[in-house]
Amino acid sequence: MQTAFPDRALTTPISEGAITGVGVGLAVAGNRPMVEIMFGDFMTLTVDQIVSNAAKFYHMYNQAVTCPVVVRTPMGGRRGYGPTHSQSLERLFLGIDNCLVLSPNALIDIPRQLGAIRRIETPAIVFENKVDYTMRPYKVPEYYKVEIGSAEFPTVAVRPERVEPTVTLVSYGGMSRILADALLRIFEETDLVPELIVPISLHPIDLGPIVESANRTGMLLAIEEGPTFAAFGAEVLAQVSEHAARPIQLGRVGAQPMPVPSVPELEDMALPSVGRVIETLRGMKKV
Amino acid sequence: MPFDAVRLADAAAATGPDVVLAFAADAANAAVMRQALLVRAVETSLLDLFGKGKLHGTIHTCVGQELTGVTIGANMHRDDFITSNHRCHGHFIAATGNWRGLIDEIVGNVDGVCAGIGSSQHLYARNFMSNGQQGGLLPVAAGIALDRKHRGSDGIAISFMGEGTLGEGIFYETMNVDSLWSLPHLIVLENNFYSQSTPQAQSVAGSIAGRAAAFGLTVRESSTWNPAELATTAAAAMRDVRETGRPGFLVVRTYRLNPHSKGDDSRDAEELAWFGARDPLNVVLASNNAHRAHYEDLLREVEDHIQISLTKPRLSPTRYFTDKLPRTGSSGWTKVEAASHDTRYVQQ
Ligand SMILES: Cc1ncc(C[n+]2csc(CCOP(=O)(O)OP(=O)(O)O)c2C)c(N)n1
Repeated sequence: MQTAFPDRALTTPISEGAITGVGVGLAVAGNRPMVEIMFGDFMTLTVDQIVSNAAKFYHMYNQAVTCPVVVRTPMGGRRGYGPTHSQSLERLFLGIDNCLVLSPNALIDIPRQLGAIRRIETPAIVFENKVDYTMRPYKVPEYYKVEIGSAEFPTVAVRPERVEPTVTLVSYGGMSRILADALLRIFEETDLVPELIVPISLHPIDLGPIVESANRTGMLLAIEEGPTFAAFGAEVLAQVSEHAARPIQLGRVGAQPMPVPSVPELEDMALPSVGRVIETLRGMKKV
Repeated sequence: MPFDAVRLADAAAATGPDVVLAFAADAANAAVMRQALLVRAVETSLLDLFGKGKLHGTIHTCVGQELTGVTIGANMHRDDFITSNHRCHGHFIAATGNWRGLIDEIVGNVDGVCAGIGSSQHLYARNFMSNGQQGGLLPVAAGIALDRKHRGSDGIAISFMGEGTLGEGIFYETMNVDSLWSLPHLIVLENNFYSQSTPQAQSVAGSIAGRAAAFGLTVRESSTWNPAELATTAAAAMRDVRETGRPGFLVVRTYRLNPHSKGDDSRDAEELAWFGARDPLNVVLASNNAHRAHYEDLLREVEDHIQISLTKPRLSPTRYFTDKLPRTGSSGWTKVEAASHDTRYVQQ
């Protein structure tokens, strides 16, 4: 990018707040800036610019201005980087009024997922996952297919092709690829036929595909890499409870509620794994 | 004297009423004087209205500090942009002249500059925005300055801040970016010696000018007690930023004669009286008949508008409660190929 656009790709000082603010100013002046924060852990230093500026302007200034600044940043662990470089802090940014939260995945090509970002009129935070940067192309398991929904930022579904699913798994970002690679193992070890629903837009939630799947299976497990308290899965469960057509057996899996340690064995235990998903599914009773 | 701000405001003592009166009597300064008096008329009328219980929410008035904003406003170009803080009424009038829209905003009716949504400290116009968090708009102004630079415009960004805001880290991040990227950004620090109830001696260490100089900003200093010198210094600061494309820092020493917002004032009464007697607009109103007559006209004009403003309707909820978030709600599915990109080459 720097070679192609030397005056537009700027080398910045390590000033997360200021460069986010500069992006906000560029957006207000009619540009479409993208701010890159090198580690998602340090999104904490951008909060005032996002919450009190970017997300407020449109309503506060009576719709006289929009602020389509995009802030992209990598999140997640599994690389041994330790407590301040391994977090999944998405939940701190979910539900900011007027601020879109997107999370691409390694299931389908990125332009299909984020193409609409050129057209948005609100600020957007794009949470990527470090491990997704290291992925081979996704090999769809036998008897499964990949589909996308029709929302502007589409929901991805990895569905069984010949049989009806019996459990809905909802996940996003890096965790969704781990699950998508393990669908057959989950089937073999639980006797449940999983259907994986992967939203790209975490806020607002594309609820339709999730509820539709839960109505069919009657059982839903939300899995995310960060801790589950007041997080994406909690919101999914709340909204599914409000909108489902029948009682749904609900569950959540996420990280242990403590800093992610660097010790490999402990990091593995801190973060959600396929093993824990299987264990949780076995403990859930169908209603 | 028993109070400390006076020692700090030695500039006030260094000039006298003669300097102020000579400035006010010069026809070349009529526009600035009239606008300063307009700001005072609006601010005192708003405080009065609050006292009568006719306004809700809060305001921070700039009575005593008017000359800073109007002096900057007098040198603005069409593509210039101002960012401001909680104490923004004077800056807003200086940038836009739209005092009626400001009163409507604070009264809270639909004709307000933002339809009453943000009220006093959240104002917007083509060339202006204010927000309520200390320092938060400083990097936004840097972004606007970067936009002007990229477009080859002669516009500059101007940010007002108070000395209490020197405690915010974003100020230093912004100056660093301003200087590294050579941005046309002028930061105007209004030093009124207090942040709410905290005297400067308890919130600011070391040198104010030295902080900006360390980042390579061109620093100038002036005060509202010498309006002629303020006019020259502010014009030079703006011209410099415009012509060199480099950031600047202008420190204006001044004094707030009214409470921080509505009734919260713990300052020494003797100190307030001392500054009140030396306040440039008070000095002019006490002995320049033409300006006093004009001020009385302004007060009447403002009062007339307030009466109209109080009868105007509020914003409709259907206008307010909408957003621009992308539509969710998937219906229909398309089968797609799985990701074909091999991303393993990306280095962390
Ligand atoms: C980030 C932030 N912290 C605290 C406040 C509350 N607050 C409003 S005005 C003010 C004092 C500001 O002092 P100064 O910058 O000197 O400006 P002045 O009021 O003197 O014009 C404070 C602390 C705020 N608005 N923003």
